[in-house]
Amino acid sequence: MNNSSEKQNWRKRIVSWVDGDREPKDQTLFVMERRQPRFPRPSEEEREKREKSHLKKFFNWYPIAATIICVSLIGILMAAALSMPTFGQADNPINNEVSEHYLEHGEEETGSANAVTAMILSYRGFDTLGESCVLFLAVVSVMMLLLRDEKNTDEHDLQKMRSEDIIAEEHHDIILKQAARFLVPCIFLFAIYVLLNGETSPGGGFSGGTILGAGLILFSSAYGPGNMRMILTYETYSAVRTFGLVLYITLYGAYIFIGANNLPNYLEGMTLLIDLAVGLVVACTVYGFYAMFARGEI
Amino acid sequence: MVHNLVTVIGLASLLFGVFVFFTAVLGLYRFDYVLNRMHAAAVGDALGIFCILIGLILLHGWSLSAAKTILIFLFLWLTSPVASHLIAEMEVCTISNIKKECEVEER
Repeated sequence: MNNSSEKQNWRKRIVSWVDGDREPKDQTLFVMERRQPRFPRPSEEEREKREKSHLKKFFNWYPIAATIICVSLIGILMAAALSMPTFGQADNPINNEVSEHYLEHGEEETGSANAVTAMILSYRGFDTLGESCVLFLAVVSVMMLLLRDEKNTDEHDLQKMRSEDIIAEEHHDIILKQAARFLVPCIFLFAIYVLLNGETSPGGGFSGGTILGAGLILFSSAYGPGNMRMILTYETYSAVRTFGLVLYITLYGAYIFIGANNLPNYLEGMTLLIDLAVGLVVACTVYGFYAMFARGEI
Repeated sequence: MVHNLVTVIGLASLLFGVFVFFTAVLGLYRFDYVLNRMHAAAVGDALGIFCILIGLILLHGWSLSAAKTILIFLFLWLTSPVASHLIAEMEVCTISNIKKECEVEER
Protein backbone atom coordinates (compact mmCIF):
# COMPACT_ATOMS: atom_id res chain seq x y z
CA MET A 1 0.00 0.00 0.00
CA ASN A 2 2.72 2.38 1.04
CA ASN A 3 4.85 1.35 -1.89
CA SER A 4 2.11 1.97 -4.43
CA SER A 5 1.34 5.41 -3.03
CA GLU A 6 5.03 6.28 -3.25
CA LYS A 7 5.01 5.17 -6.88
CA GLN A 8 2.00 7.38 -7.52
CA ASN A 9 3.86 10.27 -5.97
CA TRP A 10 6.84 9.68 -8.21
CA ARG A 11 4.68 9.57 -11.29
CA LYS A 12 2.97 12.78 -10.29
CA ARG A 13 6.29 14.48 -9.79
CA ILE A 14 7.58 13.30 -13.15
CA VAL A 15 4.40 14.44 -14.86
CA SER A 16 4.61 17.85 -13.24
CA TRP A 17 8.29 18.08 -14.19
CA VAL A 18 7.46 17.26 -17.82
CA ASP A 19 4.66 19.80 -17.79
CA GLY A 20 7.09 22.40 -16.51
CA ASP A 21 5.39 23.09 -13.19
CA ARG A 22 7.52 24.50 -10.42
CA GLU A 23 8.71 22.03 -7.91
CA PRO A 24 7.45 22.65 -4.39
CA LYS A 25 10.06 24.56 -2.48
CA ASP A 26 12.47 22.45 -0.51
CA GLN A 27 12.84 23.24 3.16
CA THR A 28 16.64 23.22 3.07
CA LEU A 29 16.68 25.74 0.25
CA PHE A 30 14.27 27.89 2.16
CA VAL A 31 16.63 28.01 5.14
CA MET A 32 19.49 29.03 2.93
CA GLU A 33 17.48 31.74 1.29
CA ARG A 34 16.62 33.31 4.61
CA ARG A 35 20.24 33.92 5.47
CA GLN A 36 21.58 37.41 5.24
CA PRO A 37 23.37 38.18 1.97
CA ARG A 38 27.08 38.07 2.44
CA PHE A 39 27.70 41.44 0.85
CA PRO A 40 25.50 44.40 1.67
CA ARG A 41 23.30 45.25 -1.26
CA PRO A 42 24.38 48.39 -3.11
CA SER A 43 22.00 51.26 -2.98
CA GLU A 44 20.01 52.33 -6.03
CA GLU A 45 22.27 55.24 -6.96
CA GLU A 46 25.42 53.24 -6.54
CA ARG A 47 24.04 50.49 -8.73
CA GLU A 48 23.06 52.94 -11.42
CA LYS A 49 26.52 54.45 -11.36
CA ARG A 50 28.11 51.06 -11.59
CA GLU A 51 25.85 50.07 -14.49
CA LYS A 52 26.70 53.26 -16.33
CA SER A 53 30.42 52.72 -15.94
CA HIS A 54 29.99 49.13 -17.12
CA LEU A 55 28.04 50.34 -20.12
CA LYS A 56 30.65 52.96 -20.93
CA LYS A 57 33.41 50.40 -20.70
CA PHE A 58 31.42 48.06 -22.89
CA PHE A 59 30.87 50.67 -25.57
CA ASN A 60 34.52 51.58 -25.49
CA TRP A 61 35.57 48.01 -26.03
CA TYR A 62 32.81 47.00 -28.41
CA PRO A 63 34.10 48.59 -31.65
CA ILE A 64 37.63 47.43 -30.92
CA ALA A 65 36.53 43.86 -30.28
CA ALA A 66 34.25 43.91 -33.32
CA THR A 67 37.06 45.19 -35.53
CA ILE A 68 39.49 42.58 -34.26
CA ILE A 69 37.00 39.76 -34.79
CA CYS A 70 36.06 41.01 -38.26
CA VAL A 71 39.66 41.47 -39.37
CA SER A 72 40.73 38.07 -38.08
CA LEU A 73 37.72 36.42 -39.76
CA ILE A 74 38.51 38.16 -43.03
CA GLY A 75 42.12 37.07 -42.68
CA ILE A 76 41.18 33.45 -42.06
CA LEU A 77 38.77 33.39 -44.98
CA MET A 78 41.26 35.09 -47.29
CA ALA A 79 43.94 32.61 -46.32
CA ALA A 80 41.52 29.77 -46.99
CA ALA A 81 40.54 31.27 -50.35
CA LEU A 82 44.17 31.75 -51.35
CA SER A 83 45.07 28.17 -50.57
CA MET A 84 42.12 26.84 -52.55
CA PRO A 85 42.87 25.06 -55.85
CA THR A 86 42.26 27.07 -59.00
CA PHE A 87 38.71 26.87 -60.24
CA GLY A 88 38.12 24.47 -63.10
CA GLN A 89 41.57 22.89 -63.28
CA ALA A 90 41.68 19.28 -64.42
CA ASP A 91 43.98 18.06 -61.65
CA ASN A 92 41.96 19.49 -58.76
CA PRO A 93 41.32 17.13 -55.84
CA ILE A 94 37.56 17.24 -56.51
CA ASN A 95 38.04 15.72 -59.97
CA ASN A 96 38.82 12.24 -58.71
CA GLU A 97 37.53 8.80 -59.52
CA VAL A 98 34.45 9.16 -57.30
CA SER A 99 32.73 11.87 -59.31
CA GLU A 100 33.91 10.18 -62.52
CA HIS A 101 32.26 6.97 -61.39
CA TYR A 102 29.05 8.83 -60.47
CA LEU A 103 28.87 10.50 -63.86
CA GLU A 104 29.80 7.46 -65.92
CA HIS A 105 27.94 4.66 -64.16
CA GLY A 106 25.19 6.62 -62.44
CA GLU A 107 22.56 5.95 -65.04
CA GLU A 108 23.00 2.21 -65.26
CA GLU A 109 23.46 1.75 -61.51
CA THR A 110 20.56 3.83 -60.24
CA GLY A 111 18.31 4.09 -63.27
CA SER A 112 17.98 7.86 -63.17
CA ALA A 113 19.34 9.98 -65.98
CA ASN A 114 19.73 13.05 -63.79
CA ALA A 115 23.12 12.79 -62.10
CA VAL A 116 22.08 15.03 -59.22
CA THR A 117 19.06 12.87 -58.41
CA ALA A 118 21.18 9.73 -58.69
CA MET A 119 23.64 11.21 -56.24
CA ILE A 120 21.31 12.61 -53.59
CA LEU A 121 18.84 9.71 -53.61
CA SER A 122 21.05 6.69 -54.19
CA TYR A 123 24.74 7.23 -53.58
CA ARG A 124 24.23 9.75 -50.80
CA GLY A 125 20.84 8.46 -49.73
CA PHE A 126 21.66 8.39 -46.04
CA ASP A 127 22.36 12.10 -46.14
CA THR A 128 18.97 12.79 -47.70
CA LEU A 129 17.34 10.46 -45.19
CA GLY A 130 18.85 12.55 -42.40
CA GLU A 131 17.54 15.71 -44.04
CA SER A 132 14.04 14.25 -44.28
CA CYS A 133 14.25 13.27 -40.61
CA VAL A 134 15.30 16.82 -39.71
CA LEU A 135 12.27 18.22 -41.59
CA PHE A 136 9.99 15.70 -39.90
CA LEU A 137 11.36 16.52 -36.46
CA ALA A 138 11.15 20.26 -37.14
CA VAL A 139 7.46 20.07 -37.92
CA VAL A 140 6.90 17.78 -34.93
CA SER A 141 8.54 20.24 -32.55
CA VAL A 142 6.64 23.19 -34.02
CA MET A 143 3.44 21.20 -33.51
CA MET A 144 4.44 20.48 -29.91
CA LEU A 145 4.74 24.19 -29.27
CA LEU A 146 1.89 25.64 -31.31
CA LEU A 147 -0.77 22.99 -31.81
CA ARG A 148 -4.09 24.02 -30.33
CA ASP A 149 -5.85 21.43 -28.19
CA GLU A 150 -8.21 21.48 -25.24
CA LYS A 151 -5.37 21.88 -22.75
CA ASN A 152 -3.96 25.16 -23.99
CA THR A 153 -7.07 26.78 -25.40
CA ASP A 154 -9.63 28.53 -23.26
CA GLU A 155 -13.05 29.95 -24.07
CA HIS A 156 -11.63 33.39 -24.80
CA ASP A 157 -9.27 32.11 -27.51
CA LEU A 158 -12.04 30.08 -29.10
CA GLN A 159 -14.34 33.07 -29.17
CA LYS A 160 -11.63 35.24 -30.71
CA MET A 161 -11.00 32.65 -33.39
CA ARG A 162 -14.68 32.34 -34.12
CA SER A 163 -15.09 36.08 -34.53
CA GLU A 164 -12.06 36.18 -36.81
CA ASP A 165 -13.60 33.40 -38.87
CA ILE A 166 -16.83 35.36 -39.18
CA ILE A 167 -14.92 38.45 -40.33
CA ALA A 168 -13.03 36.37 -42.87
CA GLU A 169 -16.31 34.86 -44.12
CA GLU A 170 -17.87 38.26 -44.64
CA HIS A 171 -14.87 39.84 -46.31
CA HIS A 172 -14.04 37.11 -48.77
CA ASP A 173 -11.57 38.44 -51.26
CA ILE A 174 -12.86 37.81 -54.76
CA ILE A 175 -9.58 38.71 -56.43
CA LEU A 176 -7.62 36.19 -54.42
CA LYS A 177 -10.31 33.57 -54.91
CA GLN A 178 -10.43 33.95 -58.68
CA ALA A 179 -6.65 33.94 -58.93
CA ALA A 180 -6.43 30.86 -56.72
CA ARG A 181 -9.11 29.13 -58.76
CA PHE A 182 -6.93 29.43 -61.80
CA LEU A 183 -3.56 29.00 -60.14
CA VAL A 184 -4.05 26.15 -57.67
CA PRO A 185 -4.62 23.43 -60.31
CA CYS A 186 -1.67 24.73 -62.33
CA ILE A 187 0.57 24.71 -59.27
CA PHE A 188 -0.49 21.19 -58.29
CA LEU A 189 0.06 19.99 -61.86
CA PHE A 190 3.49 21.58 -61.96
CA ALA A 191 4.35 20.07 -58.57
CA ILE A 192 3.40 16.60 -59.76
CA TYR A 193 5.39 17.14 -62.95
CA VAL A 194 8.48 18.19 -61.00
CA LEU A 195 8.04 15.31 -58.54
CA LEU A 196 7.66 12.61 -61.18
CA ASN A 197 10.19 14.07 -63.58
CA GLY A 198 12.98 14.42 -61.05
CA GLU A 199 14.59 11.27 -62.38
CA THR A 200 15.28 12.65 -65.81
CA SER A 201 15.37 16.41 -65.46
CA PRO A 202 16.18 19.03 -62.85
CA GLY A 203 13.73 18.84 -60.01
CA GLY A 204 12.91 16.04 -57.65
CA GLY A 205 11.61 15.56 -54.18
CA PHE A 206 12.67 18.74 -52.46
CA SER A 207 11.64 21.24 -55.13
CA GLY A 208 8.47 19.36 -56.07
CA GLY A 209 7.47 19.03 -52.44
CA THR A 210 7.99 22.73 -51.84
CA ILE A 211 5.80 23.61 -54.83
CA LEU A 212 3.12 21.22 -53.57
CA GLY A 213 3.26 22.82 -50.12
CA ALA A 214 3.01 26.29 -51.66
CA GLY A 215 -0.08 25.20 -53.57
CA LEU A 216 -1.63 23.92 -50.35
CA ILE A 217 -0.84 27.24 -48.64
CA LEU A 218 -2.46 29.19 -51.48
CA PHE A 219 -5.57 27.01 -51.38
CA SER A 220 -5.82 27.34 -47.61
CA SER A 221 -5.43 31.12 -47.59
CA ALA A 222 -7.84 31.63 -50.47
CA TYR A 223 -10.67 29.32 -49.47
CA GLY A 224 -10.33 29.27 -45.71
CA PRO A 225 -9.59 26.48 -43.27
CA GLY A 226 -13.08 25.02 -43.56
CA ASN A 227 -12.62 24.08 -47.19
CA MET A 228 -9.06 23.01 -46.49
CA ARG A 229 -10.32 20.48 -43.99
CA MET A 230 -12.33 18.82 -46.74
CA ILE A 231 -9.19 17.74 -48.55
CA LEU A 232 -6.71 17.54 -45.65
CA THR A 233 -7.68 16.72 -42.10
CA TYR A 234 -5.26 16.41 -39.24
CA GLU A 235 -5.38 12.62 -39.43
CA THR A 236 -4.64 12.58 -43.16
CA TYR A 237 -1.86 15.04 -42.64
CA SER A 238 -0.18 12.95 -39.96
CA ALA A 239 -0.68 9.77 -41.95
CA VAL A 240 0.84 11.25 -45.13
CA ARG A 241 3.76 12.75 -43.23
CA THR A 242 4.60 9.50 -41.46
CA PHE A 243 3.96 7.44 -44.59
CA GLY A 244 6.49 9.49 -46.56
CA LEU A 245 9.26 8.96 -44.04
CA VAL A 246 8.47 5.26 -43.49
CA LEU A 247 8.36 4.67 -47.25
CA TYR A 248 11.75 6.29 -47.62
CA ILE A 249 13.28 4.28 -44.78
CA THR A 250 11.86 1.00 -46.06
CA LEU A 251 12.92 1.55 -49.64
CA TYR A 252 16.36 2.77 -48.78
CA GLY A 253 16.86 -0.07 -46.30
CA ALA A 254 15.86 -2.57 -48.97
CA TYR A 255 18.19 -0.86 -51.42
CA ILE A 256 21.14 -1.02 -49.03
CA PHE A 257 20.34 -4.64 -48.18
CA ILE A 258 20.17 -5.68 -51.82
CA GLY A 259 23.35 -3.86 -52.68
CA ALA A 260 25.27 -5.25 -49.74
CA ASN A 261 24.27 -8.87 -50.37
CA ASN A 262 24.66 -8.83 -54.15
CA LEU A 263 21.04 -9.80 -54.67
CA PRO A 264 19.38 -9.21 -58.04
CA ASN A 265 17.87 -5.73 -58.11
CA TYR A 266 14.17 -5.76 -58.84
CA LEU A 267 13.63 -2.22 -57.61
CA GLU A 268 13.85 -0.47 -60.94
CA GLY A 269 11.65 2.51 -60.20
CA MET A 270 13.06 3.03 -56.75
CA THR A 271 14.39 6.51 -57.33
CA LEU A 272 10.95 7.65 -58.40
CA LEU A 273 9.31 6.29 -55.26
CA ILE A 274 11.98 7.79 -53.00
CA ASP A 275 11.47 11.08 -54.81
CA LEU A 276 7.76 10.86 -54.05
CA ALA A 277 8.43 10.06 -50.39
CA VAL A 278 10.77 13.02 -49.99
CA GLY A 279 8.23 15.21 -51.77
CA LEU A 280 5.47 14.19 -49.38
CA VAL A 281 7.62 14.91 -46.33
CA VAL A 282 8.71 18.30 -47.66
CA ALA A 283 5.19 19.33 -48.69
CA CYS A 284 3.83 18.39 -45.28
CA THR A 285 6.61 20.33 -43.57
CA VAL A 286 6.02 23.48 -45.59
CA TYR A 287 2.28 23.41 -45.16
CA GLY A 288 2.55 22.38 -41.51
CA PHE A 289 4.69 25.40 -40.65
CA TYR A 290 2.21 27.73 -42.34
CA ALA A 291 -0.82 26.19 -40.68
CA MET A 292 0.77 26.05 -37.24
CA PHE A 293 1.89 29.66 -37.26
CA ALA A 294 -1.30 30.95 -38.86
CA ARG A 295 -3.96 29.18 -36.82
CA GLY A 296 -2.39 26.56 -34.60
CA GLU A 297 -4.22 23.73 -36.29
CA ILE A 298 -4.12 21.87 -39.57
CA MET B 1 20.73 42.14 -90.78
CA VAL B 2 17.60 40.80 -89.14
CA HIS B 3 19.71 38.90 -86.65
CA ASN B 4 21.59 42.06 -85.71
CA LEU B 5 18.35 43.98 -85.35
CA VAL B 6 16.89 41.30 -83.06
CA THR B 7 20.05 41.34 -80.94
CA VAL B 8 19.93 45.12 -80.63
CA ILE B 9 16.25 45.07 -79.64
CA GLY B 10 16.91 42.30 -77.13
CA LEU B 11 19.80 44.17 -75.56
CA ALA B 12 17.79 47.39 -75.40
CA SER B 13 14.89 45.61 -73.73
CA LEU B 14 17.26 43.95 -71.28
CA LEU B 15 18.85 47.28 -70.39
CA PHE B 16 15.45 48.91 -70.03
CA GLY B 17 14.40 46.11 -67.70
CA VAL B 18 17.50 46.66 -65.58
CA PHE B 19 16.71 50.37 -65.50
CA VAL B 20 13.14 49.67 -64.38
CA PHE B 21 14.43 47.45 -61.62
CA PHE B 22 16.85 50.16 -60.58
CA THR B 23 13.99 52.66 -60.27
CA ALA B 24 11.97 50.07 -58.37
CA VAL B 25 14.72 49.53 -55.81
CA LEU B 26 15.32 53.27 -55.57
CA GLY B 27 11.62 53.86 -54.93
CA LEU B 28 11.55 51.07 -52.38
CA TYR B 29 14.25 52.84 -50.39
CA ARG B 30 13.27 56.45 -51.00
CA PHE B 31 9.53 56.37 -50.29
CA ASP B 32 8.28 56.44 -46.74
CA TYR B 33 4.78 55.06 -46.83
CA VAL B 34 3.91 51.42 -47.42
CA LEU B 35 1.55 51.94 -50.33
CA ASN B 36 4.00 54.16 -52.21
CA ARG B 37 6.81 51.69 -51.70
CA MET B 38 4.56 48.87 -52.83
CA HIS B 39 3.74 50.72 -56.00
CA ALA B 40 7.43 51.11 -56.76
CA ALA B 41 8.06 47.42 -56.11
CA ALA B 42 5.10 46.38 -58.25
CA VAL B 43 6.48 48.33 -61.22
CA GLY B 44 9.61 46.24 -61.04
CA ASP B 45 7.63 43.05 -60.70
CA ALA B 46 5.41 43.71 -63.69
CA LEU B 47 7.32 45.80 -66.23
CA GLY B 48 10.89 45.02 -65.25
CA ILE B 49 10.53 41.26 -65.31
CA PHE B 50 8.59 41.48 -68.60
CA CYS B 51 11.32 43.52 -70.31
CA ILE B 52 14.13 41.33 -69.02
CA LEU B 53 12.46 38.08 -70.03
CA ILE B 54 11.49 39.43 -73.47
CA GLY B 55 15.09 40.55 -73.92
CA LEU B 56 16.31 37.08 -72.96
CA ILE B 57 13.91 35.42 -75.40
CA LEU B 58 15.04 37.71 -78.23
CA LEU B 59 18.71 37.13 -77.48
CA HIS B 60 18.35 33.40 -77.04
CA GLY B 61 16.09 32.66 -79.98
CA TRP B 62 12.88 30.71 -80.11
CA SER B 63 13.05 27.36 -78.32
CA LEU B 64 11.40 25.34 -75.58
CA SER B 65 13.18 27.44 -72.97
CA ALA B 66 11.65 30.56 -74.52
CA ALA B 67 8.17 29.06 -74.17
CA LYS B 68 8.92 28.27 -70.54
CA THR B 69 10.12 31.84 -70.04
CA ILE B 70 6.79 33.11 -71.36
CA LEU B 71 5.06 30.84 -68.84
CA ILE B 72 7.24 32.30 -66.08
CA PHE B 73 6.23 35.86 -66.76
CA LEU B 74 2.59 34.93 -67.21
CA PHE B 75 2.78 33.34 -63.77
CA LEU B 76 4.43 36.42 -62.31
CA TRP B 77 1.86 38.71 -63.93
CA LEU B 78 -0.91 36.63 -62.43
CA THR B 79 0.47 36.35 -58.94
CA SER B 80 2.30 39.60 -58.26
CA PRO B 81 -0.74 41.92 -58.59
CA VAL B 82 -2.77 39.62 -56.35
CA ALA B 83 -0.07 39.67 -53.70
CA SER B 84 0.23 43.46 -53.94
CA HIS B 85 -3.53 43.78 -53.67
CA LEU B 86 -3.60 41.66 -50.52
CA ILE B 87 -0.81 43.63 -48.87
CA ALA B 88 -2.52 46.92 -49.74
CA GLU B 89 -5.84 45.66 -48.42
CA MET B 90 -4.24 44.59 -45.18
CA GLU B 91 -2.56 47.97 -44.83
CA VAL B 92 -5.81 49.86 -45.46
CA CYS B 93 -7.71 47.61 -43.05
CA THR B 94 -5.27 47.97 -40.19
CA ILE B 95 -4.08 51.57 -40.39
CA SER B 96 -5.97 53.89 -38.08
CA ASN B 97 -5.54 57.22 -39.85
CA ILE B 98 -5.60 56.42 -43.54
CA LYS B 99 -6.71 59.95 -44.44
CA LYS B 100 -3.57 61.40 -42.99
CA GLU B 101 -1.34 59.17 -45.05
CA CYS B 102 -3.11 59.43 -48.36
CA GLU B 103 -6.22 61.05 -49.72
CA VAL B 104 -8.86 58.39 -50.01
CA GLU B 105 -11.53 58.87 -52.60
CA GLU B 106 -14.93 58.35 -50.98
CA ARG B 107 -17.61 56.81 -53.10
